[in-house]
Amino acid sequence: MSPRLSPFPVGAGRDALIQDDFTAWASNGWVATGDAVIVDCWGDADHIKLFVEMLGFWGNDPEVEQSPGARSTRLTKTYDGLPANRLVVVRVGVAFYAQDFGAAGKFVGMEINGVQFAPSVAASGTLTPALGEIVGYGMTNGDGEITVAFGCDDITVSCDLHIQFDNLEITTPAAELADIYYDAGVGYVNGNPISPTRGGISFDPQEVIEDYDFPGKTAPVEGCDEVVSSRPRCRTRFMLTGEYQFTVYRPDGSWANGALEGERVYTPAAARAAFGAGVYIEFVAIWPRARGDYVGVRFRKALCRQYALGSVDKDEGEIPVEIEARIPAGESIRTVPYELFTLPANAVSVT
Amino acid sequence: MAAILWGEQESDGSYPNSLASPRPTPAHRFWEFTPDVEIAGPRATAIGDASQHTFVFRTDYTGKFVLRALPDSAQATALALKLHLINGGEVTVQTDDADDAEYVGLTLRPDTTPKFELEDDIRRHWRFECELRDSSPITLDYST
Repeated sequence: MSPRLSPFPVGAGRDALIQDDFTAWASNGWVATGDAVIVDCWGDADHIKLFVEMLGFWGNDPEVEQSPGARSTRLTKTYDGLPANRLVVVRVGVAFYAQDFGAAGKFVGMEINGVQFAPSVAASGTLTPALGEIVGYGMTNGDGEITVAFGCDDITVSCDLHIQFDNLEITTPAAELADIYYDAGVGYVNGNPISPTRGGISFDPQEVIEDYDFPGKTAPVEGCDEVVSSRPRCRTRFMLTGEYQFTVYRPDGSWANGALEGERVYTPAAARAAFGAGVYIEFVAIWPRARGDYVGVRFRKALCRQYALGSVDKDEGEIPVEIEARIPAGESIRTVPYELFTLPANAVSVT
Repeated sequence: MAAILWGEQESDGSYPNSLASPRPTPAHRFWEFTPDVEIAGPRATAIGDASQHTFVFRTDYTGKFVLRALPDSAQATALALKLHLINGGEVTVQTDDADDAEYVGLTLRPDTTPKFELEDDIRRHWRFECELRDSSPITLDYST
């Protein structure tokens, strides 16, 4: 099978499951196998070096057994302590010096569970190496183990091969089931949870994307699209009916004592006048993800555009609301007024 | 790029003034291009056999060019082009069509006035329209 390049982007900023700088690798579980002479070509102490340089004869000595003519070697280790049955990405740095003569065109790289992956760079052919990496992937088994090997195949003399491997990382891909979000989610107003929700929170950016028309058009063309407008909105059903909550549901009003004893009255401000700047809220909707962290959407300025009071026999009442984003005053009118974000599992604040 | 260019041509072939849509290719094309031809001179129809008779002083080949989705920042340039044409100035039109046709030395079609108007107030898109004249046919191929 031809060596492959990983199709998965390694998640930026994601903690590695395993990091190995190969310090004292020779006494750290790595096992060399392969044909005579070439199996002895693994070296160095704090990074893994494969250096094979034979002129004319294996072992540079005609008295050494020359059969087989084509020789291979592997340096193999099984990593454990990983999540079971999980797709993982294995990345290792390479410094690639030489691959010539009997090594030219042969496999040199990494194997993950026997599947070969090639370096991202070719050999420099000089004393200054080409620096790159190998990114491979594979499934851990039911015991949370994965087998990583470095090596080469079918090298013949004369040959020149020099490659070094260092700084291995095992991570999860950027797109995987751990990114599924679940549960109802929580809405925060100005950094504080405003109310329990029922039925979850939905977010819709409501963006209108236009593909440019032009004479002779038969289909939309790459590079000829733009976001014309957006009206980001979150919908949910809150449950609390406190005084603060009503100032959010129906902005620009005020509470005061009523005429009846103990009565409190909320009077919305008069119509046909702009809302005051102070009534706009920062709204955050956040959901937990299967990997244990959070994903959310943030409106730096927002307004609750709709609310209603509803009750159900023998059940808790609900207040369906629509909260819509606004471009903060003073910012460019081309600003798209929402942002998506993730937070780590130990996050203590959404603002 | 589809554009109307004018002014003293530089040594590198460029022009100091140009009006063009800011959109990427091919969305910058001229809209509503309409070629036409007319003669300047008397025309008559014979009563007996309806044959056409003309005395041609001049033949005007014309083309209508429309630029759309011009931004607010193009207002000054569009007004300068309109004034240049009204004053009898010549322009070069690069069509960016299938033949990469370019027309040099075009003038305003007689008895017409360029139009510059706001096409979409919310999107802030302006439209510039003019009819230009040449002594040989003006054509445009946007079929590809």
